Amino acid sequence: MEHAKLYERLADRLSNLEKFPRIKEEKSIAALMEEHGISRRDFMKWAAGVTAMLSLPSTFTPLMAQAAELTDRLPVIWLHMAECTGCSESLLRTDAPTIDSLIFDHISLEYHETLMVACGWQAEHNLESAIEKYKGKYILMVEGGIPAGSSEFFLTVGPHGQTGQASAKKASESAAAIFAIGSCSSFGGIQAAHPNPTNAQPLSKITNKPVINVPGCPPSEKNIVGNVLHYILFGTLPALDAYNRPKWAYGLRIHDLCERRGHFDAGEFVQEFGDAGAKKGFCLYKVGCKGPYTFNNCSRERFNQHTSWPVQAGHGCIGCSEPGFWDNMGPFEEPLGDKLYHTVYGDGADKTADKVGVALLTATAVGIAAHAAIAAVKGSGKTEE
Amino acid sequence: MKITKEIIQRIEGEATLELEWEEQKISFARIKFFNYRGIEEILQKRPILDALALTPRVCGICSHSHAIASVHAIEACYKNAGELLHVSQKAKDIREIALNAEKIHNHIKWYFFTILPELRRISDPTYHGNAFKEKQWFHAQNAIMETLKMSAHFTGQWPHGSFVMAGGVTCDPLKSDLLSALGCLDAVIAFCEEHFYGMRLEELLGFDSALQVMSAPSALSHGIDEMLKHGFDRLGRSFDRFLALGESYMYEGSLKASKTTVLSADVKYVHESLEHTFFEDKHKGYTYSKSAMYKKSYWEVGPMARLMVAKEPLMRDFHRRFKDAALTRVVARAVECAHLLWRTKDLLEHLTLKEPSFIPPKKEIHTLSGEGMGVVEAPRGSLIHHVKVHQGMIQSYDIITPTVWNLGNGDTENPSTAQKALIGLHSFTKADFILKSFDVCSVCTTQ
Repeated sequence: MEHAKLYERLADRLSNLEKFPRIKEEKSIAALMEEHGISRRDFMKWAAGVTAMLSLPSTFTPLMAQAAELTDRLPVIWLHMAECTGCSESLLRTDAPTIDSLIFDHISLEYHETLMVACGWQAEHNLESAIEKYKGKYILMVEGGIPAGSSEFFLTVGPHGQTGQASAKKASESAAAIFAIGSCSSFGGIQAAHPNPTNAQPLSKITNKPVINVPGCPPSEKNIVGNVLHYILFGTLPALDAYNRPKWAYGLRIHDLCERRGHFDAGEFVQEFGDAGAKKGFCLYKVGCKGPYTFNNCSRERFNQHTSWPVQAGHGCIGCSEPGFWDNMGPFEEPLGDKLYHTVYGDGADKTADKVGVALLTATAVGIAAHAAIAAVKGSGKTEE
Repeated sequence: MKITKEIIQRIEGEATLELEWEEQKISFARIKFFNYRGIEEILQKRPILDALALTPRVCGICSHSHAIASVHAIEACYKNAGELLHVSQKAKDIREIALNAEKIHNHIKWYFFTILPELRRISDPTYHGNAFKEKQWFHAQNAIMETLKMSAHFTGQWPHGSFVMAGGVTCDPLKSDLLSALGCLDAVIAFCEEHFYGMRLEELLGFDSALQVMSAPSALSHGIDEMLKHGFDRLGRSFDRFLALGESYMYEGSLKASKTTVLSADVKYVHESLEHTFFEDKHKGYTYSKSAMYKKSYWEVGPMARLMVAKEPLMRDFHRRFKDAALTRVVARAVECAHLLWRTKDLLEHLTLKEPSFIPPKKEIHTLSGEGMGVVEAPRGSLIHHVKVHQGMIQSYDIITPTVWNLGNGDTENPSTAQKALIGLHSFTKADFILKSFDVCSVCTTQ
């Protein structure tokens, strides 16, 4: 779609959304920001950043700002399953806290177990009434893998003794959009790693409705907030890849945007942690970086207010936004090409990898490109275009 | 006898508190955790270095603590196998900076996002506020972010940074990273001085009387006033026994304190109890949380324990007045936060960048066999990792987290620290607050 047409369509959608009543008659986001000392200029700068992140032209910045202002029309329910709370923590560390956390407050987080004051019966009541009150309108965000209950190790939440699986199912039924936040709810996560003692499952296995996966351990705060804003802007699911990950965030490999990429291409590798290459910031592939196999935007967006990310701190990517990475990507400190497995020739792949070296990696890259092509075909049916 | 069951929110994960009442008083309390993930099982048969990526995922709040405990355990394996790894002072300091950042952020967040809203709810039961609505909490949120940004310069990200390795750390910070990190820390210190303590850090750290803290207009003194109003200076007392097994710059070696007497402690006397868990008995058990004990008794771990064994004068004065009541426990986190800020600034200012970050072990990791233990003082108390390795592969991995010390499941004859603190209370609201004063973490407790 041409930019001008798209702009017009989104502007229409936002002006329609504006007609909806606000969920809570509280201060507008503009008033809130003013109160916290955030200028309009800062806000527009932030909106420009988010626009670029979602791969929209910079002329869409005013629309993004308007979308952020309309977040108070959007109820959100956030459920915790089997997890480490790291994704909530990541969310709380949102970039430009002064703006994103305000927006999250504004969004009207109807239910969040770590953040809300209610507890006990009251908390359970809050969840039930939020589901009832905003039926078909709320955004559901689920953090954590879901123990499927076929063993005795299940997750029971609340005084009613409901299992996590039951509450996730119930909340999914009347949600307008469902986001699986983090690798755990997207793909099962660490608890689903072999031997998966609790039979943990991804959210998509629990519900029949489409689930947008936002994997990462944790996903960056920007990917979480970006998805909400995308939903407000477009009102539909974003373009997704083969694993139902939004393409705007997971369309490229870590490797493609990595600051150490030049060293990879030049064949300059860290051979061992602490060597001269490590000091010079050489490529970490040989000490186990999984960047070439991992689709995410960490290398561009980074973490903790754009401060840093694992590769910048001298450690390879562990591939945390790929399905089953705990089992497939390990050992984390060795190159995947060296992984010892039995072939028909009985040698294991490591021998070949030593000889062929980077050539093997190129072959992998071809495989990955094929995967991306499949993703493009599969995802195209789901786009808003 | 009446039994009530309540789900506890605003902690890490979920817990249920089941209270037995007799004559309108709590006669016994069961703290139930239903969220089992089985990380110890998942760790088995994996390459030992993978533990550095896996164990941080036990907890989204204490991920660096787990990574560091794990690396200590691996380094202990090397030591037991005959190779003493040399870890440079720079690497040690970077590990401590990361660990301190985790504690500082946890203490600020816990005080502003849990304790203050809870106290307000106790005063006004109709209050259902959102933690981000108040201006003060907004500033607190900013301070938390700056703290983690400070550590992200070294650790890459928070939570779940990958930066430690057996033999040092992977990062090689530049002078500009240090300066930027110092800038972040200064912002946190400014917030704490203005909002948290209402005075300069030096001033607070020089105090030895509770009255000096209580007089300053600040979030801390406001919290103390509120707690005094609701009687938390007398409620929530437990055994008055404290344990700190991990090292700290404030004291030397593993120590325990019974009331105010400090004695040396040894990690070999620690054992885990499976009593009342689903692991021991599927039908009679009621929780997935194990209990940790020292010489078959329950000991309190955490900031209060650390400051008591360090004979910190201000804490000692609070203890003299209020014993180990909920109020002392809350104040301990605030006071420890001030010490950590001071210490971290000192570490950052004196970090020698010339030293190596990592010195590779001579022994090939695939040939490493033996066992090792790593102990670290995490935000909530002593954290123990115990690993057995064969030919570089994990045979077994045992994790004892801080909350299982404090929130174990004893019985009426031998209640755990938190259970003892709850017995005798008259109201659920107060029981809830006292349980939270231990800084409950259900995700790490049940792994």
